[in-house]
Amino acid sequence: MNKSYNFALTKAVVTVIVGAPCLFSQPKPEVILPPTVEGNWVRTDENHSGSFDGLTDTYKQAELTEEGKTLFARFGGRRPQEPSANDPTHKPGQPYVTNPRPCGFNQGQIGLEYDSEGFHAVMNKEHITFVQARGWQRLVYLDGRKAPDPSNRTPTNSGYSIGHMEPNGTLVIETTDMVPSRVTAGGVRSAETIVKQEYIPDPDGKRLKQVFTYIDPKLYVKPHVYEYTFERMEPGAYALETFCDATDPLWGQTVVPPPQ
Amino acid sequence: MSKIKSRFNFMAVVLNCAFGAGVLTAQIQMVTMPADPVDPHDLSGYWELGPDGRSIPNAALVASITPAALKAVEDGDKISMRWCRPLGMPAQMDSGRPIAITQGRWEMMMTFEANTSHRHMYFREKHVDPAIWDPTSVGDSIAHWEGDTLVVDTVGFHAKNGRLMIPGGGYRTENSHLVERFKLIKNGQVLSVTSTWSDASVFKSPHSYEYRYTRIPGRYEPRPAPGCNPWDDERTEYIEQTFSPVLKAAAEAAGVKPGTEVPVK
Repeated sequence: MNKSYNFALTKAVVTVIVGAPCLFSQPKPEVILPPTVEGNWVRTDENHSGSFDGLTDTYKQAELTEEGKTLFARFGGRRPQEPSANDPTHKPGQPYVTNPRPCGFNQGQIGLEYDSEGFHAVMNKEHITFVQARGWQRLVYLDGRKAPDPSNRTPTNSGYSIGHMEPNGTLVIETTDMVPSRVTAGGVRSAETIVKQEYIPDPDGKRLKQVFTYIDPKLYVKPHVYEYTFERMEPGAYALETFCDATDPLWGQTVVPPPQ
Repeated sequence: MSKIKSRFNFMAVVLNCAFGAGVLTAQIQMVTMPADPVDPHDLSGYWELGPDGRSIPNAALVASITPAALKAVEDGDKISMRWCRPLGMPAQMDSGRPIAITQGRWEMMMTFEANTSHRHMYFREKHVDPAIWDPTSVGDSIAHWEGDTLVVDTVGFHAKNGRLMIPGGGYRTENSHLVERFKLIKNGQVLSVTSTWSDASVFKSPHSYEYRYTRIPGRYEPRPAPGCNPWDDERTEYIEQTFSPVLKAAAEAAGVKPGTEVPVK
């Protein structure tokens, strides 16, 4: 009996030692969550304003520190040669070539916010990619990597983003290293600002809330928070193309809304 | 004591069965595969086209595609380069920079470190209704698996947007049909993409060529594309120094300077 006991004990120990690595090499089961940020989304106009400025006008304005106010003032409004839709010098219905940033300058690098054209998200094991109809993309790394040392990077419009998925399908992202600029609702950012974004899908996966929190004690009295909502596009929806052609006279045309 | 020994023995046998099979599998994998087994149905990764990554035969063109017709399209592509227009298909599959493939639940997306549109290859059975599709420089792509090969079918190209010349000869039109076959080879370290263009107005028979992309190892991170400013006079002079006077005149006639008013139609 003792012999059998010893044999079994030895066999078990050897098997565990040899087998352990293969235990860890087994593929982990995929977690499929019905509510997901993956897919095609279009932004909703919650307060029926009819324009982006109108949508964000109702947002609570940022509370900036003196340093924040100084930085905010440094980034002026639109350039003189870039008339906005509300520019009084343009008559309704009058096409006008503005084209101050012709194609190729920044390759349409998208930032953290998505305008009314909506966005598309595709996720694999390493990252989630966000794109819009224009070129370039934003990657959010989900594989647990840390943001590299800022001295090794050049700030970009979309910054450096790392994130993780919560069990309920919420995607939590932290972004730093962005090109300094103004942000929505009277805010401002520097390369050191941390932007926390939460993409929170409804349980049925048809709507998505995107909550922004700008964290930077140098620039804000308290974190600057605002949110957007999106609706999932219908099945069969597809991405459009914004073909940026500097020779197209309509490319930089300002769309002037007719009198309301 | 005997009961305990017996239970222990039983446990050892169970453990043995559980781990033994795993050990055998792992050992086989160690001989035949790299440490991380490659999923042949996941093309995600960063891929670059090396100097020996192109196998391109000459295309057989229909008689109406004269040298003059080809030159006109080539000149059009040069004008597109001068004005920093996005590359479009098939030029963006050979942009000189890596291609990122993100394969998700509903589509495989291809993004580029170049002035291009993204490619969305949807895992769907049907193309968008042509009646509502706005032609694009990359077309409308749908994809399905045939064994370990991803077959991507693309139609709906724009007649003019993007560079139109096709490797090996000929050019794309709004009626061109592209079928690409993506397959991982060399234990997933190389991605073979065979492109076949059909267009009765251009090719006598379907024209195929193969690119082989090498996987970029490690944690590669994409970089923004190089800038391109069509209003940079020094750049324009450089680009146009090989243009004929006629082509240069045509290229400059295409542009509209910023701030120029255009008549209301």
